[in-house]
Amino acid sequence: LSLDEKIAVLESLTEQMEYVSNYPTPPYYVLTSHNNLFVDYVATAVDLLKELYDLFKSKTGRELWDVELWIGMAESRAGMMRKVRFGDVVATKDHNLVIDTLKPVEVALQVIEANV
Amino acid sequence: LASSFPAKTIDLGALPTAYVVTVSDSFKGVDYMCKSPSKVLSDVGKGADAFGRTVSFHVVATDVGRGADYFGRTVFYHRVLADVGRVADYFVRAVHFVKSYSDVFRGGDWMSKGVGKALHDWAFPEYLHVRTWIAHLSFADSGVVSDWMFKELGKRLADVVVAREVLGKDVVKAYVDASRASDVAFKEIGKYPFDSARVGDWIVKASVKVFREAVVGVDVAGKGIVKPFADSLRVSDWMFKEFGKRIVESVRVGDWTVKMVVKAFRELGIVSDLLAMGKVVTVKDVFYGEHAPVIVPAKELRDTVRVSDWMSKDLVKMFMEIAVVRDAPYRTIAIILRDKFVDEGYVTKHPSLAERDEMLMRDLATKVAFKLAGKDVRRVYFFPPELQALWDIIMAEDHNVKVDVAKILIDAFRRVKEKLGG
Repeated sequence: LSLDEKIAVLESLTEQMEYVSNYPTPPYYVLTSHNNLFVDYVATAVDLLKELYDLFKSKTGRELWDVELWIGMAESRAGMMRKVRFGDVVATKDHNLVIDTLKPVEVALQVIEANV
Repeated sequence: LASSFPAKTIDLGALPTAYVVTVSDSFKGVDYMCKSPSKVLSDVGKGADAFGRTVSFHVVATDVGRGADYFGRTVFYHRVLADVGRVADYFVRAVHFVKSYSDVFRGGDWMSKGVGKALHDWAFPEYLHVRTWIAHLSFADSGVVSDWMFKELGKRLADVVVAREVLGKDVVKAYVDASRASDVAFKEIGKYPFDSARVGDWIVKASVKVFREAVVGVDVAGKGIVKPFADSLRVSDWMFKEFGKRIVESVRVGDWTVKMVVKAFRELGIVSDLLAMGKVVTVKDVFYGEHAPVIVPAKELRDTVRVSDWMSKDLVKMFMEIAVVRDAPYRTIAIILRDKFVDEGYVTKHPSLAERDEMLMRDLATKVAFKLAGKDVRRVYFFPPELQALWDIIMAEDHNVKVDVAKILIDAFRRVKEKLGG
């Protein structure tokens, strides 16, 4: 997939995401599908980040060691994510892994953007 | 006896005859053994009027056995048997020769070699009958050479290595810091980190090699050659290697801090202003007579004023702050901050002021909240049952903020892509 296509995938995933409410206003459950959408989102985001960094290196001829560090961290954490099925419990770690992975993605994007 | 064996009749009038029997046998075993026995049997008989016979038995045996690198052996055996007999009338000759040769040696560490060789030569009786100068010669010559060799080469190499390495590391740090201020502050901090790491490295390597080579060679050279040759080679290579590594690492960090600050001060002011003033005014009338003055106190005026002003002020302030911080491997952080403020003041004159302010705040897991794409996100922790009071769940806002972050990051991706011209 090209960069634009991967961004389109991210947009498609976010369109499927929905907000939840506190009880008793439905939907007040965090469903398994909610978690699985984030798993796909994070995997695509990390992949897209790596391609952008490759593009950065080819354009500028420079390497950013801290970006590589963040990418490695994001890859490592994304590898620990899991998809859940109906009946499975969405554990706290499923939630934590999403934000823990997106954080280095965000930082890496900021560093790349600052060095363009 | 002579009829049992092949016999030659030699005509005395004939030309001297000679025959040569050459037996050559050469075989080579495996790489570790080479044997080349060479046998030359020469028998020369010559008869004339005056009978003369020469028997020469020439055996050249060369035995070369070479084992492994540690073994080398060369045997050269040379035997010459010459018998010359001249008999006129009646001649009986018997020669019996038996020679046994046994060589056993053991060398090296784990190598033994036994070589047994038995060589039997028989020269059977010869009967010579001479009648009226007619020579009748009966000659029987039978040679049986038995060459029997047994060679066994056994090699056993056992290598057993057991290595065990266990590294244990236990670090326990505990320290308590307690301080109590002299006035009204009490602070106690206790930290109990426990760190335990144990690394076990256990290796067992056993290698046993058994090499066995047995060669049995039987070489019988008579009139014919019978040579059974048995070669047995057994190589057993058995190796066992087990590499086990067990790493157990247990880290327990308990950081428990209690901070309690109690400040209480009491201010009591009592102002007592007592002013007592008394005035005594004495009015005296003085009368003067003709002759002598007479002083008669006539009037006394006493004026007394008492002013009493008493004020009491009691001000009590109490400030209490309790902070409990717990930091465990599962990152349980609980902060309880209690702020209690009590202010009581009153003045006995009338104004009475009592003010009481009490606040209790509890913040759980405050350290694990951070900003992601400008949004406040927080990690949610599951605690063990013994900390059931601290159980937390994924709230609706925790999920919703992730949706917002996901949308924001798409814009960031698109922005970086456009800057890179991708």
